[in-house]
Amino acid sequence: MNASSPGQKITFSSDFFDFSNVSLAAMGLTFSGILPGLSFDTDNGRNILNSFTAAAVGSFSADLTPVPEPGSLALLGIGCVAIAGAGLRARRRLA
Amino acid sequence: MFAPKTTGTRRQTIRSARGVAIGFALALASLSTAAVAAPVSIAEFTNNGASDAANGFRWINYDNFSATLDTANGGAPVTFTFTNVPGLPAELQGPQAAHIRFDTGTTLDGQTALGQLDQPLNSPISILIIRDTPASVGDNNRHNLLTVTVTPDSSMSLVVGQNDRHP
Repeated sequence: MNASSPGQKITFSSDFFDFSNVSLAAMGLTFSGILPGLSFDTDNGRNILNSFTAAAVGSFSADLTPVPEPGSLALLGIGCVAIAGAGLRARRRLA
Repeated sequence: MFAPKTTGTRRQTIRSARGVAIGFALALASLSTAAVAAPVSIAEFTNNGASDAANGFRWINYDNFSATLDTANGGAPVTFTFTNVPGLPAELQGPQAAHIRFDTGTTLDGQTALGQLDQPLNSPISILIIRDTPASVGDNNRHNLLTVTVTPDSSMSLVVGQNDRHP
């Protein structure tokens, strides 16, 4: 059983870590010891799995890299403008 | 005092300025590469192979009109581990005794293709993994190791399986 985003919307939360800004979240469950086994029930013209019990192992993953804040992007822009300005000034001096 | 710079000195200054700018651009490029990191495992759990209805997961078919996939009331005992989560206190590092409460379900039909059974789900998946004893750190009641909600969409996850005994 697997789910991931984008695709499904997956949210994580915890008392111990702030997961509010994670991206590319995913989860997976692997069942074992399935009793009495997997089979479909076709009564009533339907086709749904028969009842079973199972053990499970689960895993969760995400990209924990913080999304850049608008302030950081603005600083990056200012830095680029400053570099371009310095280059232009140096060329004028040379001319 | 200081002598005026010659044309050669100016060129040298411009070259070193260019070098600094290129170095800065390369540093920015490496930073932006790091920002597009791939997802990493953040947590995992196992219910230690218990497959009975009280300690494992149970799929219950209701007269073939709907089905639920859940754990017993009070949850199933699991061993939970945070992985690759930065800044975790020592108390939360390594295996944690916990209980999982799992809940989802479906009203959709499944199908068999190439010997594999595919059962779609159309209910949200709700997972709560609760520490058996409160930690000395954390927010709220300091029990909630991980809560996960999955909202279904058109490509909702499937229970997919194969059964050697009942192909």
